[in-house]
Amino acid sequence: MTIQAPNLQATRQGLSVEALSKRFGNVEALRDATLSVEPGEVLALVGPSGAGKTTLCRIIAGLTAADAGCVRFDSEDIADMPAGQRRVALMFESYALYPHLTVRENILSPLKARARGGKPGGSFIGFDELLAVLEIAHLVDRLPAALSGGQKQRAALARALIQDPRLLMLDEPISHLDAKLRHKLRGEIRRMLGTRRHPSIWSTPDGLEALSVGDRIAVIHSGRIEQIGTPEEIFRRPASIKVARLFGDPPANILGGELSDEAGKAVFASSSLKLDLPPRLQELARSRNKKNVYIGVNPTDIQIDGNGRFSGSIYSVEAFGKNYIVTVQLNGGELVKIKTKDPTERKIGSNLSFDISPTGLMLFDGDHGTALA
Amino acid sequence: MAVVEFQEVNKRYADGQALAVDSLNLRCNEGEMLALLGPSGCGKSSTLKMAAGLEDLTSGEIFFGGKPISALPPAQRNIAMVFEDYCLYPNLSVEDNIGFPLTVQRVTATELAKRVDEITAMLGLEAIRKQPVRGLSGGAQQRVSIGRALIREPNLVLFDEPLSHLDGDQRVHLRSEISRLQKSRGLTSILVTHDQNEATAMADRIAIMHGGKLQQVATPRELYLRPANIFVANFIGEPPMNMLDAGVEDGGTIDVGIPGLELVLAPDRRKVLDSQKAGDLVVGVRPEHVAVVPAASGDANVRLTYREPRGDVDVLTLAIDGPKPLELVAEVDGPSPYRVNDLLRIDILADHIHLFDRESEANLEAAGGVQ
Repeated sequence: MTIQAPNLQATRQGLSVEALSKRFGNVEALRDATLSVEPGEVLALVGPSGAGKTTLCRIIAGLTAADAGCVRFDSEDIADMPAGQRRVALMFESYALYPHLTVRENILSPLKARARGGKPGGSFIGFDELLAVLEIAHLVDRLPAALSGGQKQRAALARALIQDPRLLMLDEPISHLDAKLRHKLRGEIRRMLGTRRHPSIWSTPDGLEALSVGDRIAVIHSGRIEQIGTPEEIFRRPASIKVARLFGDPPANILGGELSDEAGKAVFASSSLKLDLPPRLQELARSRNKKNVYIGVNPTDIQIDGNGRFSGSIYSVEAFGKNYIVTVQLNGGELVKIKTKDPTERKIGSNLSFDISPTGLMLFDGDHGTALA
Repeated sequence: MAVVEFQEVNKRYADGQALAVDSLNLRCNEGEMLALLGPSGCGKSSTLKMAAGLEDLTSGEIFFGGKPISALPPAQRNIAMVFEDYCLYPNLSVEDNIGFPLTVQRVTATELAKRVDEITAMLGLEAIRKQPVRGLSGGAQQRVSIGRALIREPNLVLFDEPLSHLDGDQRVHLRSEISRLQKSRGLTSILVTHDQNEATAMADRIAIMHGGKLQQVATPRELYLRPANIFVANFIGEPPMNMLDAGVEDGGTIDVGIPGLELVLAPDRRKVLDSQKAGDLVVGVRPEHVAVVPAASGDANVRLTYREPRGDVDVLTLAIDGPKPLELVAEVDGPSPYRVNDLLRIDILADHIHLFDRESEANLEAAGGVQ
């Protein structure tokens, strides 16, 4: 009996994952995870280590069975399809290169395996072109043992990118490369994936990388999907404090306090500072009638200003080339990070005045840490 | 705490192999944090291991406070190490891990308690001091291992990639904690890292190594403003510096092949061009120094090919079409209104460009190189 292959051109709808859950003993690795990725789209899957990124990828690939939920390719439920037939190209964070094969043999191995299965070993990109992009052409005859970590990572990446799969999943694909190469490959791989017919998932613990490479971003934390959105939505309007903490360099300052009404205006007050909410949040603050809240303030939304309304003592100063991160301790003990281009020398312990532009302020529920919206 | 000095230090792991560390002369001042920064295989870890006594020197000498120490066993050097993977006793409590080096030294119980109190307070570990370290977050475990390093009051603290196992948020937090602690206690420290952000955030000075050789040692600011050569210029700054092949025209104008862009150096900089032959110049421009504006139809000189949102900034890849296609990266405030295929105009201020010799790759103006 032969299995009829679906007409891919007609039914390409990408990947959808519905309500996936998975437990390992007492640990809830994944709970009710739902997401979808369109053909040609890159979904950046971001979360701290242990959040469930790898478990989710392994379930989609068919390497781990879910306790509940389903995975569909082009509307077809593939729960019972063995991993070998799913045509998922998966790049493992641990590389998983064959130690006895050369770099060339490793990269070509998925095409050979498919050719043996009687299916065409189709590929999107020429072998030589791919090697040139990844800067590993000079390494093709080496065995993995003779490669550095970064070189192994690029060989594993080449093996994933050379395929023409129904879904491509990259698990931390560029984490072990130096800054210059990471910057270059981030762009080149991202552009390559945008021209493809299959959906891609790019998993990373690095929020900035996710902002760069994702058409959309799915934030995962403690096994739950916290938010799915465009890079701008995620950065400007994080759905929870957990999300806000993952993005930005450095991430937003989160400060706890209370909301009150002063002459018809919603005002945030902590032991250290008092701030009118921006017009965007005024109505919201009134309607939700919430007392305990957290605010989120991006470090670039704070200006050092001798006449500023707020002040604190300088806790630490980190001098980067193009900007400085100054951490200030407020009189209530909270630490606030300020990102500035002003190169004035600043001494630890001295006083610093600053002002906050409230336009970009974020507002979170004091009990659950979810955005008030 | 003492001055640490490397004099003509060489390290060769086996006969016939290249030098892993090649004629290193380097000084870490008292109370200073010096970072050793470079790609894997640059010699930074070998240097650290020689200071710690975990590797022998092939030749040369290392001095602590003027005394040669290369013949001393590690235990007699009074060095503390903080490792990438913490190396704690998982079943012992926070305070027992911190106090461990002193129990081995057999100090009195009162002295031990006093020092542990002081260290746990300093590192903000009081609330969890009775807990076993197993199960603590990576950031908390690394603070415990820093506490264990400091309790002996060492001459020198060696930090070996202390933040690389931590997630972003914890990394940013611990980075400023370590920096504050090091400065407020005046700890003489050497930090080994491959991450320029870590080095820049924490170190007073950074020594950049490549292929066993020291490339430049300077403050983070100097490295950014005056990189000694193309390697350093590429290594410091993210996104990396743009490198453009350039020619010098008769009037002293620098041509980088971008239409409508004439770079004229300030008079006091012009003399460096006198000895340069046409076409042997590389001009470096940092992405944050490329000014981008929307262009009226005739004024455009670049086309946006790729836009990366990075939160408070956008990184733009710009193509210069024409007989000699070029690519340039710009960093602008984000979110920017620009989209792929937009025609834009860029400008570069001559004051912001770096000049390198193509052959030697040296910065034509930097005196900050290694003498």
